[in-house]
Amino acid sequence: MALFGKKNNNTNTGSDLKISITNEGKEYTLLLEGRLDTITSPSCEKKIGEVVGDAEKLIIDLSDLLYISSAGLRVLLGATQQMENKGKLIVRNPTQAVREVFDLTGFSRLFTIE
Amino acid sequence: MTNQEIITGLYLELLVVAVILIGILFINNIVLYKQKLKDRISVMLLTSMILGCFEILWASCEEHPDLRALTYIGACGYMILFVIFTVLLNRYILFRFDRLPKSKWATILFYIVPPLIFSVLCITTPWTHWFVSVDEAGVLYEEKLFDVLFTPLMILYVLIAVVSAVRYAIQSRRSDHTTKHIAYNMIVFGVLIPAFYIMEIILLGADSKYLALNLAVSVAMVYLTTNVSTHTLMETRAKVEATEADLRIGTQIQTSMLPLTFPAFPDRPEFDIHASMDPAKEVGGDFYDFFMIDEDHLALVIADVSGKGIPAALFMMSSKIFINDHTTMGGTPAEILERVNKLVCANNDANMFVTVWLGILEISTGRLTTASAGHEYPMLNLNGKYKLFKDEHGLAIGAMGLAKYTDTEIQLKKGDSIFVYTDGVAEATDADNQLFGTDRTLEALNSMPADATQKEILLGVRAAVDAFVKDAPQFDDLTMLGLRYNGPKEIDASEHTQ
Repeated sequence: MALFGKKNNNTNTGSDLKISITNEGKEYTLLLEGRLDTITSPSCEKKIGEVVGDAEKLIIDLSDLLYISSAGLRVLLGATQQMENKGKLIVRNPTQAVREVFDLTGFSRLFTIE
Repeated sequence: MTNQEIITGLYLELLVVAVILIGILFINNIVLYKQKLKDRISVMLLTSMILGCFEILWASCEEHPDLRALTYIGACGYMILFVIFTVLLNRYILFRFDRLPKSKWATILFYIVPPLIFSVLCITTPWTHWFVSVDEAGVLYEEKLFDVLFTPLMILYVLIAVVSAVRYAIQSRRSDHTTKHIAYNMIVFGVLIPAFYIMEIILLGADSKYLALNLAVSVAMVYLTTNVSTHTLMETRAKVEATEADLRIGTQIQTSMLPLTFPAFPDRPEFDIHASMDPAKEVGGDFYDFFMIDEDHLALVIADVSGKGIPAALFMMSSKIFINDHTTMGGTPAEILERVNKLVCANNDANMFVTVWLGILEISTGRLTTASAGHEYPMLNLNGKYKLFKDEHGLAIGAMGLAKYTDTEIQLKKGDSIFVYTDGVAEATDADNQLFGTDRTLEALNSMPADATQKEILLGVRAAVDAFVKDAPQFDDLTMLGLRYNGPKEIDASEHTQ
C-alpha cells in the first residue's frame, strides 16, 4: 500500500530472494540477492526460464547471495544445461558461503566461475 | 413522526439492507471464493442487486405525483430484472443436475423469447397500462395482464426447476450421495424464495405495498452461497485428506526401505553401527543405508537429494536402489559412483541430483575405502577426537554424466570411529538465522564419553542440535550415521573372507 510512499527494500532477511535482470542485447545478467533455497528457488527457476530462450550469454551474479541450498543448486544446474548448446553461462562472484557449497558438492568444476 | 412515516421508513431500510446483504454475498463470491464474474451465482447475485435497486426506486417514488415517471421506470426495471432472475434461478438449478436443454432452439424458445416479450411489454407498459399503472396520485396498481401472464410464468419457471430437482432426488436417493445432497439443497433453494414471499403475503396481505421481494431473494441467496462454498470446502478437504493418507503411506514405504533394526548386526562384534533419519516433511530426500557385501565387507551410504517432498522422495528411491545394486556388483566406491551417476544422468529430465558418501569397510583389516559425490565431509575419530576429514570430492550424482570420482583410503584401528551426516545437521538454524555448523557438530561429538555407543553418540548430536535451534522451524531432513571399529575378531579373520 502506498500509504507512506516508501518501501522497505531490505530483502536479505528470512527466506527472501530479490532477482534483478539486466541485458545488453543477448547478454543477460541476473543479480540474486538474499537466499536461494527451497522456498525461493521456484521463482528463480521461472525467471531464468523466461530469459534463457533468448540469451546467448547468461551471467548469474551471486555477490549478494547469502545462502544456497541444494534446491538452489538444482536451479543453477538446470540453467547450465539449458545454456550448454547455445551459449555460455557464467557464475560471477560467489560469496564465501556459497563458494564453499560449490566446492563441497563439486559444482565448482561444472560452472564457469569468475 | 406518524406511524405511517415510521413504517414507510422501516420498509425502505429493509429494502436497502437486503441489497447490501446481496452486495456482500457478491463481493464474497468474487474475492473470497475466487469466482469469476461469469460464474452463475455471481450473475444471479448481481441481477438481484439491480433488482433490489429498482425495487427501492419505485417503492420510494410511489405516491409522489410528480415522480410518476420514476415510479414507472422503477416498476418496469423491477419486473424485467425479476423475469431475468427467475430464468437464472431455473437455469442454475437445472445446471446442477445437468438438465439444461442441450439444443440451441430449446434454449432460445424457453429462455430468450419469453423474457424478450416480457421486456417489450414492460417497457411499453407506461403507455399501454397492461402490466401496471400509476394513477394521478402516483399510486402503483397491478393490472390484469400482471396476474394473468406475469405471475403464472414466474411460478412456472421456479416450479419446473424445483420439480426437476425433486425428481432427481428421488431417482438418485439410493445411488449417488453427493448429487442427492445437491438435489436437496436445490429444492430448499428453489422453494425458499416463493415460501418467504408467501409468508410476507400472509403476514401483510396480498395488496400490501410493503412486500419486499428482494428480502426473500437475499435469504435464499445466503442459503445458496453458504451451501455451495461449504460443499466446495468439503470436497477440497476430502482431496487433501486423500493426499495426506498417500503421503503417510509414502513415508512408510520410504522408511521401510532403510535398515531400521538396531543393533543391526548383533553377531558381528567387530563394529558398532547406528543411523537415524528425521525427515522435515512427510517424505524427505535424505537416506542412509548399510549392508554386508560379503562376509568381510560392510557398505555404508549416506545421501541427500536436492529439493524436498515427493520429487525428492522418488529420486531418493531410485538412487538408493542403484547404489545398493551396484555396490553389491563389486568395484571400489569411486567406480560404483561413476556407474550409478551414468545411470542417473541418462534419465534425469528434472535436473535433480543427489550428494552421496559411500564407504566400504574391510572388516578383517579396518581399511575403509570411501568416495564422495559432493557430500559433506565426514568426521573421523582416529585418536580419540573427532576431526573434519577433507576427502576428495567429486560432483554430485545426476549433475553430469561424465563425472569422475576418487577413492580415499582410511585405516581404522580398534576404537576409531566415523560420523557421516547430511546438511540438516550442519545447517540446522536457530531463530537468529545462525547455523549449527560443523564446529558445533564436532564439539557435540567430542563431548560424548569415550565409551559411548554409536546410538548414544547420535542421540547426543540430535540433542545438541535440538538445544541449539530451540523452537525455530527446520526445513531440512536430519540424517546421521555412525560407525565404530572394534578391531578384527580374535580368531583368525581370514576365515570370514569367504
